[in-house]
Amino acid sequence: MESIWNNLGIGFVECFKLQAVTMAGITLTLPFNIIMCLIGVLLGTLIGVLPGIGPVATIAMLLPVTFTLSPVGALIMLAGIYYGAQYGGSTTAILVNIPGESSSVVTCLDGYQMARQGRAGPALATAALGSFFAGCVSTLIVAMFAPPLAEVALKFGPAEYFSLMVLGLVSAVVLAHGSLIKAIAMVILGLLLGLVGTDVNSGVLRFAFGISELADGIGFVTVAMGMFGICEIIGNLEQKEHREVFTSKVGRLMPSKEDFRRMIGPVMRGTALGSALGILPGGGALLASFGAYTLEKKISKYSHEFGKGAIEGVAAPESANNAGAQTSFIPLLTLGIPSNAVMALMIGAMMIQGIAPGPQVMTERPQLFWGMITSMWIGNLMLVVLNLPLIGMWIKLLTVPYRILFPSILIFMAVGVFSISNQPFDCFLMSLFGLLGFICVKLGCEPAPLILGFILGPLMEENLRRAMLLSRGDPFVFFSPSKPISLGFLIASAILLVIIALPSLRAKREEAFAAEDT
Amino acid sequence: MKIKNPQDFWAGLMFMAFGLFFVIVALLFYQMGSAVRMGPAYFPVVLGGLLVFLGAIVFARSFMSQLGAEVTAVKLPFNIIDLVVAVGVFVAMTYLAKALGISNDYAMLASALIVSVLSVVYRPESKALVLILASSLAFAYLLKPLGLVFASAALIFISAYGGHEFKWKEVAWLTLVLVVFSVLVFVKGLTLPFPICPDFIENCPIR
Amino acid sequence: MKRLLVFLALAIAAGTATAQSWPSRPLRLVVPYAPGGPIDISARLLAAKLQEPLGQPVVVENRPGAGGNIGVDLIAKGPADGYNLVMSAIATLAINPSLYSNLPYDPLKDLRHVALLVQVPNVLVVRDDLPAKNVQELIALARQQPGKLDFGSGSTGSTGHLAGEMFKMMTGTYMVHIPYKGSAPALADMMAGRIDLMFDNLASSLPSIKSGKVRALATTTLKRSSFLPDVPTLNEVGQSVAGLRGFDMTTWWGVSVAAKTPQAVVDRLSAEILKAMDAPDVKERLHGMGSEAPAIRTPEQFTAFVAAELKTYTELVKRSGAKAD
Repeated sequence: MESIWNNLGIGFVECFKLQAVTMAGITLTLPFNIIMCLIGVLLGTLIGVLPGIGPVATIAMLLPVTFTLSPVGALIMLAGIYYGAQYGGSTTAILVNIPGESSSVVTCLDGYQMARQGRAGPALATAALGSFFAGCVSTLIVAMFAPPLAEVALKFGPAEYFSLMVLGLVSAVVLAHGSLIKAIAMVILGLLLGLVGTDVNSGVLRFAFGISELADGIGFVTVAMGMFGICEIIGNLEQKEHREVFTSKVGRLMPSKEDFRRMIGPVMRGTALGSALGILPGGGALLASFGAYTLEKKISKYSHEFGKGAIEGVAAPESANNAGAQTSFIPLLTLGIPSNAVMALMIGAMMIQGIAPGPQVMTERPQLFWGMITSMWIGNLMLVVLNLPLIGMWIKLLTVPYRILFPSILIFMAVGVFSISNQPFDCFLMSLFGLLGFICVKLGCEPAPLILGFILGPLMEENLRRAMLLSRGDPFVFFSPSKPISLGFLIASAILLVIIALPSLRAKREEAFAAEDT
Repeated sequence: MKIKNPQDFWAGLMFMAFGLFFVIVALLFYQMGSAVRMGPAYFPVVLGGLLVFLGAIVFARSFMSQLGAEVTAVKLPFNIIDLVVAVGVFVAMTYLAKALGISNDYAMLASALIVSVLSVVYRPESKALVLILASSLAFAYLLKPLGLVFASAALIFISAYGGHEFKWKEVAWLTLVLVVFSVLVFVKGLTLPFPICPDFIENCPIR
Repeated sequence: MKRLLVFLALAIAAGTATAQSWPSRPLRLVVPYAPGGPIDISARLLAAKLQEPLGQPVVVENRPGAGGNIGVDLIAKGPADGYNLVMSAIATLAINPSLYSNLPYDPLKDLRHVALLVQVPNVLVVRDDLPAKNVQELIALARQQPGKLDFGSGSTGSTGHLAGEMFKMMTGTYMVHIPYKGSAPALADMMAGRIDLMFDNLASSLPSIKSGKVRALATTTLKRSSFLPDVPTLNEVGQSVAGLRGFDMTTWWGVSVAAKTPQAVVDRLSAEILKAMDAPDVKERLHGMGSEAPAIRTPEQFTAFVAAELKTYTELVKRSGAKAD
């Protein structure tokens, strides 16, 4: 325990170390690393708020700039962009119902409803405070338990990931609050749409019909912008009567005492779940926010409020995804394995700085290792200090007339989607998914389960087929007692399925449910 | 048989259509393999089959619902024939572009224009839907030839026209603000490789 | 000093007639992959470095899709004016022509190859607890239990996959190919003992080799890598094991332009790129990505190299039976 404080001490010293930097002929002595951290989180917040422009593209574009910085400063800044973008992403999700990252899809569900009821302030504050708490806890987890946790990550092979995805998909059904069977159908439709593109196992191009732009599959951002962003705008404009989308009274900025009381539990559980799933390099973090939401919806006594502006529905997924964002550094720092595209870029950044990522970083370059971890905590603090005052400004934005707001949202989405591969086809796809989303909503089918299916589909198929290939076709790899983790997930899925299905076995009740929503 | 729940009726049909589509394409073009060595068609066929099954249940349920057709009415601003016409326009224009040997981008722009005009004239209730979708197509396909400034202006004007009220002056100001913001943040700040000026202007004053 | 460099660059430019007015507007460097990969990073490195001597900004544009084919095709069919460049690589120039049945461009007829930027060796790594301690023992193990060993790779048709197929062919062994989505997850599964070996790009597996989580048995170049001086090459092993002699596979990428680009422009571009690569800071960064400075220094050498690699991989892809569409 003592050594932890010692190490964190090293980190703080590194973060606030004064460095002489010469810029434009003027030499300044400043705590440069902490300034880099600030720049990183500011930039991260900006790109997080702008829909479609993700941290991967931004970090890639900034890499050449970081060459001139010290390795510690560069990595601190890049990490800041990454978790800063998580904070920014929830702002767009809450204010205008656009998930820029897969992790903010579920934040849209209740966050946006809160905003429409004039409770955008409490929603944003909850997201920021929940994320901050999660960031602090998970940073401490990274500092204390990184090496043993990395060993846990290695326990997850194709069979375990497949079973985890099954559990994730079962919980996707819980996301919907209307008809159960239509939600399952939407999940499957999402799974199928996720299969478009090159098949990992055989290299065969599927469902592309000679359109070369489809060879790498359909991008998540494209689908999310279409089915959430575009669909929402059309839905709002379609209202016959002329009225504003958001209630004109701004309401309070901060959560009430009651809100605080209700968010504590979800934040704790979200943090725990997010920290655990974030460790898994093969897509575990993707499930963090979904899982946290499902958990809350099942155990909360306010579960009937979910989907209509429940504060738990913002607190839990936001804490989970920020916790996951921090703990996803564990495989990178201890094994040199990137758990997502941003981490892969961090490896690239380390290597061109002449550092081989892996367990030896901790012993050979303690300043770098602990400096980075400490900077994550400081960065989270900066973000919450930065974001809480910004809430006032964001809420003002909602009082702008919608006829001005929607073309602005639309142009940011179009720019973001176009920039993914610098070709018009993605914008065409976005429009197509906007139309599909619109039709689905009108037919009483919700888009959220489809999106989760879309994210998990390719991962699920890939791991299923890889597991079968490795076991030479033995289907029992998934439930053999030698694979307790996989078995456990499958049992959990089965139990969850029963819990979900039981009430709706009485068809009348489901009908009543549907009626309530229409 | 009377359709008691139109939403379920159409949703069921939609799911069955999607499911069948994936099953048929997979069976026709890709290898099935076996459960042991799954081919690329295996997963889509199983999932597609499941979707057809679920779609069929939803479809069947629509005749037995007790909710009443009032609550579950499908309130789409277009009918299935309109949808077919719109798709037809896109297909026809694509073939026309191919026949004329010009870029498919023009076909997309022309189709978006035709569908927009049709919608505004014959289906005013679908104006918002069509113009929003058309505006993002216009932006996408105009960006390379006309540059960010004109593409953004096109997007803002078309989409604003799809809104409830359209005030020339206000939209013009909005365009100015958003164009300046986009150029500064996206092109200057985030260095996205977007052209600012139209292609035919050799020396762009800002770049 | 900087001004002097600009002056010198201009002086060189003035020497050739066609290159006199080139470049008069910004250049475009297409990266046919999503941002963030090693090819993208080196493109951005190069673009930043070229700006000064050329006196024009070089704009990096990502055009991902179809294994890089979309971006390369864009330049192959685009204007041959020297303003449109593409990051070409082993995948798009040597492997994809036989992997894809309908490649829209011809890597030799539609493109001119300007400069080879990076050449990274591949390395044969095995899981730490595999009984084989060297290549000979690995071959013996594979022969003893055919079809038992699993080799991973970053994707079907990747250099790692093809190197594995070549190894199988040359040693007459049979191992099962397990494709992944990138080499990182494959490496993780190897650390956990789920797969036995893989041929990986040196840069991506070096950290795990250094930390002892996996073992490097051999590199795939003719010369030993300076990163792993104690690890033999497969060619060396080939002195005692028939079949492996001459095993030479690297992952490489460089810059290409449309075929009809004027000679003077290509020469100038090649000279500037080489100069940028020789700059100590760039050299150090490229070295950090696992690259040894390539011996190929002229457009002609690069073109001959591409032709030779194309021939090798066409043969290899055919024999491995890999297909991508």
